[in-house]
Amino acid sequence: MNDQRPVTILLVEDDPGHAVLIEKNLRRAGIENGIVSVGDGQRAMDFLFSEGAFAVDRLPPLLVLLDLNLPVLDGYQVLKAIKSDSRTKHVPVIILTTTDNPQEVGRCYELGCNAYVTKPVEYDRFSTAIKTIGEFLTIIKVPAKS
Amino acid sequence: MNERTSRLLMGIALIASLAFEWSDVILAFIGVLLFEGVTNWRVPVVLSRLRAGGTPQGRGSVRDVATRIPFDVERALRLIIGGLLLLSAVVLRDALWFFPWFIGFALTIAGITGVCPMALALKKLGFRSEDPGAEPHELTRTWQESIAVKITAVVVYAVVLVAFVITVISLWEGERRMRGEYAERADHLAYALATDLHGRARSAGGAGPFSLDDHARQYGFSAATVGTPAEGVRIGTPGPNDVAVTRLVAREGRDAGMQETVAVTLFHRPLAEQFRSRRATVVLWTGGAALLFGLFLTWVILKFIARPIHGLVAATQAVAAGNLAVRVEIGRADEFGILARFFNRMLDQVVQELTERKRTEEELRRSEEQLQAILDSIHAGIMLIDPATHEIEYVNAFAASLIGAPKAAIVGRVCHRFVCPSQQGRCPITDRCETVDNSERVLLTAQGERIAVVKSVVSIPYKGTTRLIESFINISDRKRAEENLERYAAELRESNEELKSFVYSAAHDLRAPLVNIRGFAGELAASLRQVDGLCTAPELTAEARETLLPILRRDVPAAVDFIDSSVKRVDTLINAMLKLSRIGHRTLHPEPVDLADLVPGLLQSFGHQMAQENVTVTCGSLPAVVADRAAMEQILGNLLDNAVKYLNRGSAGRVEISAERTETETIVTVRDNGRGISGDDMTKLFKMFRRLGVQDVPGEGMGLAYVKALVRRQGGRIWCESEPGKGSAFAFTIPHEFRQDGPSVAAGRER
Repeated sequence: MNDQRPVTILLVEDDPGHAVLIEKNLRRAGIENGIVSVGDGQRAMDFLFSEGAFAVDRLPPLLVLLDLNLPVLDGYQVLKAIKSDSRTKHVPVIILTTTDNPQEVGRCYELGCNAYVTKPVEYDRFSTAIKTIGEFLTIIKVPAKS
Repeated sequence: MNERTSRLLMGIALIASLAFEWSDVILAFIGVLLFEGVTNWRVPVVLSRLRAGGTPQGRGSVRDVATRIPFDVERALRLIIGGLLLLSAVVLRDALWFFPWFIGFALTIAGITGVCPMALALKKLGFRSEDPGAEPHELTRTWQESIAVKITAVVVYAVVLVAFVITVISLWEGERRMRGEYAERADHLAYALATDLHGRARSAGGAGPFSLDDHARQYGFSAATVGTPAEGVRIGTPGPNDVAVTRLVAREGRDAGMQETVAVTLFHRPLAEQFRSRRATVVLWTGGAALLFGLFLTWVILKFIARPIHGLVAATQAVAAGNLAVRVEIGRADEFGILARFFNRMLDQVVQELTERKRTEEELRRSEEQLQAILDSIHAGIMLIDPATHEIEYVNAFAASLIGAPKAAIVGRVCHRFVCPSQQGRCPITDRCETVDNSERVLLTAQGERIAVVKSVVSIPYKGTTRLIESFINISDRKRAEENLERYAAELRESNEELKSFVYSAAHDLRAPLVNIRGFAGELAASLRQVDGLCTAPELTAEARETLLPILRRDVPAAVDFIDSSVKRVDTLINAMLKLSRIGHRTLHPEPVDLADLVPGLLQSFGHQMAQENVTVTCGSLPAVVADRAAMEQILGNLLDNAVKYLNRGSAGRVEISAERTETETIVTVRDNGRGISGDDMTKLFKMFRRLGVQDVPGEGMGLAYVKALVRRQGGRIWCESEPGKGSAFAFTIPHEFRQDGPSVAAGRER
C-alpha cells in the first residue's frame, strides 16, 4: 500500500453473514484498507458511477470483490458495467461466489473479471481463501487513475 | 330379254319346226328374232328415257318405273307374241292336230324348264325371289342366277336339242322311206296282179277285181282302178286328197299269146297327213321324256349340288352372322364332302384361334386389372407424364386422393399444376436436366393446399417415345412428426439446461447459508477459545474483561443469529424445492374450466389490494379450456399477484386479461402497465429464488417458477414480453388436447 491514496475494497455481497465473514478474515489477514460493503448490484453501481461524494472521477483506487447472485442487479451486470465503462475498466474485479459452475466461471472471465474465487463451505478453507486473497491484495499493484 | 322368255321362244321354234312344214320353222325364227329384237331394244330405251326424265326427288319412283313397268310391258309383249304365234299355228294348220302338239309342247317346255321345280325348291331353301330390297348375303338375287339352275338348263337344252335333231332326222328318213315303200308296194301289187292275171283269159275277168281288192287292202291302198278310170274296174273310193300311183301291168290278151297292158292306179292317203300324226306322237314322247329327264336332273342336281352348296352357304351365312358353333354335316365323300370337311376344319381352327385370342385377351385384361389394382392400392402416388407436353396421362388412386380430385379431372392437365408447383412450368427434368430421386418436393392439391412429398422420377421408353413416371409418397405426417420431434428435442434440451442450471443454482443457494453456518460456527468456536483463554487466566483483568465482554455480548449472539437465520434460510429453500417437487408430482385432473367464471373469483380475492393500489382490471372474452382447475387458479393467481405487486407506484395500474383461441391451443395473456422487466433479467425470470428489480415488496422468488412448472405440466408454454417502465405481458398456452406432462418437462419435475 505504497500508493498515496490507499486502495479501497468494494465488497459487493448480498448475504450479510458472508460480508461479515469476509471482512473478518480480510482483517485477520492484515488488510487495513478501507472496505465498502454493499448488499446488492444496484448499490454497487450507485457507488461506482454516482455523482457527488462517490463521483467516478473522484473515486479512490478500487478493488472490487463481487458476488454473482445479487438482487436487483446481479454480479454479471455489475461486472459488465465496470468492464465496459472506460472510467472503471481498469479496476481489478475478483469474483467471490459460492458457485463453481464452469459456465459461469467462463462467462465471468469473458466479461473481464480478473480472478474467480469460490467460497468454500468449510470454514477453515474459507478463511484460508480469504486470507490468501488478502495476502494477494497486499502485493498486487492497482492502477491509480489520477 | 330374260332367260325364261328366250327359252320359251326357243321351245316354240323347235316345236314349230317339228309340227309344221319347214316354212313354219322360218316363221318361228322370225317371230323369235322379232321378239328378241323388240325386248332387247325396248328395255334400255325405256330405262334411259325414265332415268333422263327422273328428278333427284323422284329417283325412287323412277327406279320403280324402270324395274316394274318395263317388265310388265315385256310380259305383255311376250304373251301377245306367244299368243299370236300359237294362233297363227292353229289358224294356218289343222286345228285337230293342235292338241297333241300342244300337249307335247307343254311337256317339252316343262322339261326344258324342269329347273322350275328346282327353282321353287331353291327358293324354299333360301334363294330369294326378285326382291330389290333384299340383303346381299341372301345368296343369288334371282333363282335363275343359281349355278345349279344354269347347269340343269344347259344339260336339258343339250339333251332336248339332241333328241330333236335325232327325231327330225329319223322322221325325215322315215318319210323318205315311206315314200319309197308306197312305190315298192305298188310294184309288188302290180307284180301280184300280173301273176294273178297270167294265163287267164280276159273274159275271166271275174277273178280280177277280187284279187285286186285283196292286194290293194293288203298293201294299204285306199282305192285302186284297173284300166282307165272310165271303163276299168274300180275298187274302193279314193279320198279327195289321196295320192295316185300308177303302174302298168302286162296280161294275157283276149287272144292267146297276145299281151296287153293294163294301167293299175292305186290311191293312198297323203304322206304328210300320216307324218303329221306320227310327228305329234314323237313330240308327245319327246316332251314326256324331257319332262322326266328334267325332273330327274333337277333332283340329281338338287341332291348333289344345290343342297350341299346351300348347306355350305347356310353355314357360311351363320358364321358371318357370328355363330361359330355351326358345322356342315359331312355325309359324303365327293368334292362337297371335302369342302365341308375343310370348312369344318377351318371353323375349328378359327374357333380355336378365337378362343386362344379370347384367352389371351382375358389374361391381358386380368393382368391389366391386376396392375390397376396394384397401382391403386399402393400407398404412393404414381403418375405417367408425357415429357413433350407435360400432360398427365395416368394417375393412380393414391395420387388422385392426395390431390383431392377425381382421376378424370387430373388426367390431361399439365403436371406442374399439381407436382413441382414451385417451378411453375420449368420442369426440373426436361428444362433443367436434373434428376429427381427421393427428393423432397411440394405437391399442390386441387384445393390449393401444399403437401410435402418425397418424389422420384424415372424416364421409361413408351410406344417409341419416352414417358416420365413420377412416384411420390406423402411425408407431411413424417414432416410433422419430425417437426414435433424437433420441438420436443428442443424443449427437452431447454428443460435439461434449465435442470442443470437449476441444480447449480440450487447448489449455490444451499451453499450460501451453509457457508454462513460453518463460518459462524468457526467464528463461534474461535470466540469460545478466546473466552476460554481469558477465563482460564488466574484472574480476570479489566483488560481481559474488555475483550471478553464484546465477544460475549456482540460476537457470539451475532454468530448465533447468523447461524439461526441461515438454518431458517436452508429450511425455506428446502421447503420451496419440495413444493416445486410436489407440483411436479401432483396428478392433474383435466376438466372443462371456464375462464370467464374462474377469473372473476380470483379477482375477488385481490379486491382489497386492488382497491388500495387503485388498479383497474379488464377482462376480454374468456373461453373455456380443458385443464386442472387448481393449477389454473394458481397460475392466474400468481400472474395477477405479480401484476399487482410490481406496478409503478403513483400511477394508476391497469391489468388486462385476454385470451385467444388458435387451432391447437388457447393463449391467455395477463398484461400490465407496471414497471416492466429489463432484457438482462428475462433469462432469470422463471428461475427459482430469483427476484428481479427493486426489492420493495416481500416475496420468496418462487411464484413464476411454480407458474412455469404448472403450465408446462399441462403441455403449455409460457413467455413474457416486457418493456422496462411500460409494463409486462405474460402469456401462456393451454392446448385444446390436454397433455399431462406433455413433451415439456416441468422444472423441478425431474428431482
